[in-house]
Amino acid sequence: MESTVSVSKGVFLFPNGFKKGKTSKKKNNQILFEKIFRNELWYDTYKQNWYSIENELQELHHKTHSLLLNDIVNYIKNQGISESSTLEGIIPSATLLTGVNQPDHVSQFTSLIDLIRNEVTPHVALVNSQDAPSVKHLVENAVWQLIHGDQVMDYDDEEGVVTQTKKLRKSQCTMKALKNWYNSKCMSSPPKKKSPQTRRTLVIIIPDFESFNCNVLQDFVMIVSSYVSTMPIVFVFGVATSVSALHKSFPYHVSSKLLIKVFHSHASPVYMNQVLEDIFLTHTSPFHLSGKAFELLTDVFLFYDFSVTGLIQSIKYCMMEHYYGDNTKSLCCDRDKLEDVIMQLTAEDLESIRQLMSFRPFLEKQDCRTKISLFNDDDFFKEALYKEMNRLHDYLYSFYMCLRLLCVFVKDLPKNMLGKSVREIYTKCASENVTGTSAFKDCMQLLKFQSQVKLVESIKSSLKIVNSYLQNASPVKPLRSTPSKNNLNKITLGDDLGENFVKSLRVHLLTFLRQIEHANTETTVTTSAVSDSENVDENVPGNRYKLKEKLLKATRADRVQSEFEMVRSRFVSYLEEMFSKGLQSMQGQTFHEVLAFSDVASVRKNIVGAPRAAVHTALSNPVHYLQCSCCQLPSSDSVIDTLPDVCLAYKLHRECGKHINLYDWLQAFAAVLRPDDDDEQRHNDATIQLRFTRAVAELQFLGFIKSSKRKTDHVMRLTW
Amino acid sequence: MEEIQNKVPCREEQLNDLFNLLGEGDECLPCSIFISGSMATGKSLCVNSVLRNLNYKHVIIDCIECYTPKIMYEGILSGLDDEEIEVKCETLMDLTNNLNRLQEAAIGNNPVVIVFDRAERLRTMDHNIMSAFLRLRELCNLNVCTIFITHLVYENFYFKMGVREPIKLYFPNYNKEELFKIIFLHQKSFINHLLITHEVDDDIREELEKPELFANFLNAFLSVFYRPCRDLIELQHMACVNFIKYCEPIIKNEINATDLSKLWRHISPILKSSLELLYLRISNSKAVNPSPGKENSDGESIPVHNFENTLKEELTSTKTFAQSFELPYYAKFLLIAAYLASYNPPKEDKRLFMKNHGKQRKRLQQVKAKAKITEKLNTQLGPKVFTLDRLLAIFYAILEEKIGLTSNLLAQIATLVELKLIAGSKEIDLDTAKYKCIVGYDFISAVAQTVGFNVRKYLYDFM
Repeated sequence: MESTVSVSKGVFLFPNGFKKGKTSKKKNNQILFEKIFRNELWYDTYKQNWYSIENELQELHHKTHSLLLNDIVNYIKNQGISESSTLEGIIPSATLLTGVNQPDHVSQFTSLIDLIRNEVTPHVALVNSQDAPSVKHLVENAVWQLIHGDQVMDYDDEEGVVTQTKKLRKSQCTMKALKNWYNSKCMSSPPKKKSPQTRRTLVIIIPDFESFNCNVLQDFVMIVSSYVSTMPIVFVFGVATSVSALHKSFPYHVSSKLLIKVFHSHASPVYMNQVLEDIFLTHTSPFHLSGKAFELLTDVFLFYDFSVTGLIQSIKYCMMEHYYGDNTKSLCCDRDKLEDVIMQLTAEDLESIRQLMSFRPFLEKQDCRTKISLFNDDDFFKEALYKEMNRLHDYLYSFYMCLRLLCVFVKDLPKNMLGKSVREIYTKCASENVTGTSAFKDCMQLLKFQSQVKLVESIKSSLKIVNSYLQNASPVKPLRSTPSKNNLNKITLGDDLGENFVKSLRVHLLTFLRQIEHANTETTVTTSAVSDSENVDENVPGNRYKLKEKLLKATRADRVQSEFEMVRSRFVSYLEEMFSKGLQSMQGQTFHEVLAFSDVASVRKNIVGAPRAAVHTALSNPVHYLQCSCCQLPSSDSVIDTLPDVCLAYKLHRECGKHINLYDWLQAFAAVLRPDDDDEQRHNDATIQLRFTRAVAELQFLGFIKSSKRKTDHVMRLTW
Repeated sequence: MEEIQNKVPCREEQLNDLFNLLGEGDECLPCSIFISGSMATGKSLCVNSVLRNLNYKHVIIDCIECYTPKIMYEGILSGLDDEEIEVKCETLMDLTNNLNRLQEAAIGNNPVVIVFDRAERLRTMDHNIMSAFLRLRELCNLNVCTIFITHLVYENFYFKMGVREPIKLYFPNYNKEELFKIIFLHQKSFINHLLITHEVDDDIREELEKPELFANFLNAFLSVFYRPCRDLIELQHMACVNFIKYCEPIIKNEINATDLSKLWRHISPILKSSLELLYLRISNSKAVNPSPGKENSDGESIPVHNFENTLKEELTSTKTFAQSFELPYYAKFLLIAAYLASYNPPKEDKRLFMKNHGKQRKRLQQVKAKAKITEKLNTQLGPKVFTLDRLLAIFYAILEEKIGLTSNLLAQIATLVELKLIAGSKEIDLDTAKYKCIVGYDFISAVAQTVGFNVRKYLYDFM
């Protein structure tokens, strides 16, 4: 290193050609991570499954958002074309009501920007509230993005132009600079371009309207409005609460400069239902959540944040937890890959499968010789495993279908006993045998009173579901007919589920539908006859008494069951039987641990972070984290001198009131550390004082206490 | 002169004044002119057209844009300079120097006018700026006049030292006849707007283009709108919206264009209802189809055609505002807790939220305090500040189930602050974060209703 000529002392910066290896490091990390797990079976399966789920998610996301986004983009486009607004100085602005699920907004707006970039104009600026504490920052940010934002896009066709325009400094980005830039851009653009898009619109997006400082935004709107006659500028506001928030924060002279057009985005609970129903609660999804885990995740969503992104991330976490380090979990894959995976399993893996809890009831059903061969003969076990896994898939297939059927029948019933949406019913069905619950029985009871029209309707819609399931299932069909060896037949399988079940269900439904529709006509004849006679009565005014008598008579008379009613009760009992077959709980299934994730406790610990509780356990029971032998405590309140100093101070401070006298605290602290010495010696000991001071400082740093000015020898407790 | 007066109607007197002040090219310009008048009274328009007509060198500075004085100075210089050069000008001193340089180089003794639009913004800038511009001619050698346009009167500008008083001009509001005249000038654009949006036959088109029809409409329109609103811009906007509705029956051949009383009967309820939408500015084109995902939530989706009404209701009653969006379950309780913390005295927390709070001894003082006067009600006095700990304590007290204090829960507080339902304290203190609930009782009771919670039970005022 060369020396400096400076005489003064100081730190000098020498450029030594060292560059931050940030980008390369990242790559390395990825490779490292991949390297460790690459050869693991479970990692491959996990990766494949997650990719397929991610793709489906993106498709769904695109499908649900595209319509809304297209609406907005069309609006912006039209604003660019029709410059014939009667009054000048008015900024067209699209207001997007986003809902209060803020973590999801980012993806929404990025896709909006992409769409605008592709279809309307490359000049888009997105300014977040944290980037714009004052008008100056807001203008500079917006202008900079408008001017430089297009460079990524325009690189291909106008490379020469881009390199010419040097980048402006942030402080040079004023509205005037923007105007000059826009004029030069417009003038220089060749006339042939002019015909399709005469003036490229500039779009400024304000994604989080509420968190902006009102005055800043007002000023900004006023400034932009004075330029809107020279440049076509369009605003997009993201409003989380409701449109009136916009009006409440803008006084008239500002809001009169805006032409507001409102767009409603999807309510996020609806979107969540869609995500769950279409992607995770299907038999095609390789990974399943047990009822408890599922309930936890949806609760987090409904009770805390309404964030779909958060939900998906937590499901991803569950998947990682499920697969991590366990080769047996590679069985949790697509059905057609099962055979290959089973072939790849080692003896150890098979052994760990044998130890699964759900294997035992299965084992007990078999006779002695099969039991022995199941334990000793790996090949035999593999085949049994294959068969069982297939059965499990069949079970899932019919389970999810029955779930949807149940949803169709139940969702319109009064009182919502089982819930309205598929996910609510799923939490019930997955955790217990739903057919045994009283809620289910009540529902069936209620179904017995449903009208013909309604029943026909629900049967029709359930037939639709069954048909779609049959269509989806067809590719699996050839696989099911794989020839099975003779000795396998010895294994007694549970009742037949899967496709055959669905097929028979379809036949049954069809016949019931015909019967009910047929019966329908018969009964309506009788009821209409009755109503006719009633009408005659009612036509006579003041004949209430007679009517009442008639009604009373009608209730007393023994009702002869019409044909429809008979069919209906038969149908309901069939439904009960069918659901009890199809909706067995997941826990009862053999090898359900492989497909369904149920470790709720660890998920809760890791997803729902509880910082204060963690700090509390760390301080009151350090063994929990330190795993040392010296700090074993008989109860969480007791103190011993081997505890770390902070823990000791923490425990002592919990016994005090709002204000803590430092001297008393020190006394108590010393008494624990040196129980044998007498009082005078204890607190004169410098090391004890030192340790105490340090512990107190650490507690203050952790936010438990605070020094107060009023009483200098006291500190204040900040927690309760 | 005539030409300008045609362009700027009903402002003859003011135009004359301006011409008299600026008009003689060989005389010195007045040092500064101060123009005031409420919004949309043609101040800027008059000044601009006069200056353009006189062909003086002039710059118009919009003060709202000048968040730093530098922008203003550079704007003045680049506006006066013909050549495009980068000028750097940070201070007033630089400005005067540069102006002097310009005088020597290009301008000479030609008159120069600098117009400051929305001059009320100058009040919040440095004190010396406004007073310097009031006597700019004394500071540089130019024959310069500064014009300040603002909606405030001169007395609202406060100067520490004495300043040179400017010449004051006042622009009064337009009266009904003048408004009629001005809007009537734009008849062509109204008709064009109508013709763009509707398919019209040729003979009906002729009918529509008759000025009498428009005049009749305007009479009817102003008779309803003149009372609540004098703002020309807003009136023009509302007229445009309503004229289309006025003409619809004519286009559909339901009402004859000459049948004035029938037309009046048709339009008067429409005008009355649109009077409620005054100043709201919602784009009236309704091309939005409800997206397919919406169908799942029939209850929540607001019908589009009904939107104007819902907005109106949202603004008038906070209840509908509260119902217009959904909060997560615990966020609702947090908000209720925040409200309770804001409007209850901390002393009473124990009594309100604990089950065995012990008997309260009745003292004379308290009996007196019980006879509350409405001014003393906490709910009327506005929200008080509370600490995070108190918020959480109340939250746990009113929530029946036991839940952990998780990071998700704490994040909800931040969300509520971001949604402007709770205000965070200005200075950030990590030890004792302080908040304030900034929504009213109506809002909270609407939210509490959705979770089945009785707010009144926990408010000290209603005990």
